[in-house]
Amino acid sequence: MIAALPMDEPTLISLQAMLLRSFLIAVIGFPLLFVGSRLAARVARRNFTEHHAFIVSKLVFYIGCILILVTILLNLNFNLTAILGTAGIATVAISFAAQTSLSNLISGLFLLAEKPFGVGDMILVNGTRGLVLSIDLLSVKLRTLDNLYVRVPNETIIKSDVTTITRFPIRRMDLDVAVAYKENLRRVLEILKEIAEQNVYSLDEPAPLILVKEFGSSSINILLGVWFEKANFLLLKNAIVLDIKERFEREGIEIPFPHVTVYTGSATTPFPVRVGEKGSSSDPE
Amino acid sequence: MLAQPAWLPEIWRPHSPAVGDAAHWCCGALELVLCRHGDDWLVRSAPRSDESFGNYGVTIAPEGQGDTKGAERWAFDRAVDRFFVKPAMPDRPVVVRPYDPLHVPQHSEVLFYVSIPLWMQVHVLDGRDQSVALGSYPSLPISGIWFGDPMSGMLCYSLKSRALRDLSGFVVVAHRAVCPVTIRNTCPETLLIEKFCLDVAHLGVFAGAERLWAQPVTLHRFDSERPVRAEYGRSAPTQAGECVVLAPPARRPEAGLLKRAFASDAFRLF
Repeated sequence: MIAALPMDEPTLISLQAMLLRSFLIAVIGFPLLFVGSRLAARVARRNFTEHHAFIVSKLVFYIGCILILVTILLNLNFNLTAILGTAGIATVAISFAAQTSLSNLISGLFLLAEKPFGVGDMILVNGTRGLVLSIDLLSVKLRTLDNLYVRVPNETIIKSDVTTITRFPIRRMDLDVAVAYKENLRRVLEILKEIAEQNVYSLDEPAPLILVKEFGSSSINILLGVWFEKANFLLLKNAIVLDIKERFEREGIEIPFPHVTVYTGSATTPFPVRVGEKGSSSDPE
Repeated sequence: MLAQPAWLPEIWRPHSPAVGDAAHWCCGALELVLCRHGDDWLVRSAPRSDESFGNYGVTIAPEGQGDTKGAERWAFDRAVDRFFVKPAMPDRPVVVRPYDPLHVPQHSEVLFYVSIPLWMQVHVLDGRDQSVALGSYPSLPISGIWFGDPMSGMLCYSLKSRALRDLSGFVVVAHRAVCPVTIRNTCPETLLIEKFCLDVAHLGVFAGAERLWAQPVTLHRFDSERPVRAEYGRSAPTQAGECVVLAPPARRPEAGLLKRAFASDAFRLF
């Protein structure tokens, strides 16, 4: 057993002074740090987004904490070299274990810098469509249209194709319209142009796109692309389809369903058809 | 409350339907039905057929003859017994597109007239003549148009215009204001106008003896390098004669502001 050596008075006084200094550093430093991080966030919020402010606030706070702790340790005459050495080894070990998290963190920083989308945007990533609720350090949170909560790691977003649906103020809605081969195609195109012009949600400019796409197997397929303000997607979608249906019915334009026409070997000879009652001699069974 | 010269049409004056009666206010493609039920007002808007556009007026129907299904209800804590309707400019800029592209030769100045469909603002008045706005309704359904490129620009209303050179071609209607537009081309090149954008927030509505007016606008093109300068008049045009202000401009133009107007330059006029 090692007996505790009595401290002489100058050592005791200097120890007390060191402890007092450390205590004062902590008591003054942490509140100042807290205020400083809030101020930094406020400045960042004025010039950038809310999430930039969040990151700046956290960075200032954590760096400040480390500085205060290092100051306290230095004040208490700790040998930081040994601590840093241990920390270095620990960092390597933690890095291997936290690869994914670090990747997400770094991806998050890149996302914040690149700004492919913001909070409130509708995005499509890996087949998931949702409203961006927040862009955090490790992940992006989405709310889908049927009110599901989806967490997408930042690394996934960096590595995937992300479509920001609401990036631009206007969009084009493309509709495939099929008409029967017997219809007067020029008249159909004229009617589609009128429908687009008369729809209240469709913009006059950019002008609607009307394109004959192809001669399909059952119909002539036409692409109708109307431009609209992004907030009116659902209103336009229903309205334009109803307008087309009603107008085609009024004009007697057929929208064919897929069908197959069978010939008996030549283009004009029909199949012979005989109608009889079940159980009669005409019934083949 | 607005000034009330004797020649001001009835539709711009206050009306006092009795409790339970329905006032049918019609102008352009818009019909407004307003009913008083105690201290509440019911307001309903309905479209009218194209053939009725030229007719306008106010009729008061007895109790029970006003269809207020789907109406908006306004509840007041005091007696509000009168209503009036005030015309106003649309709530967005208007893109004017002449039916045919318009060429203005170099060093020329041309005047033509544009007829702008108006919005109708419904107000009620209490016993102290304090007004409360109940809503704003377009007198005509107008389609939207994007002025700018697909990535940036602004949403406007689309207006096809014959760009008439004199007033004789205009039918006098109560739901449109005539705006004299002067295009001054001091550039050494011919100016081709396919469309231009008017920020109607800088325009007011004036009632003349025959029709409604907006202040005159001058678009000055100096050269192909500089943007077009737009100047908005401060008062009714001289062609209007004696006028009364029905609605002042929502916003005064900023002094010394230079903005682009024409599609060939891209894109705005302020």
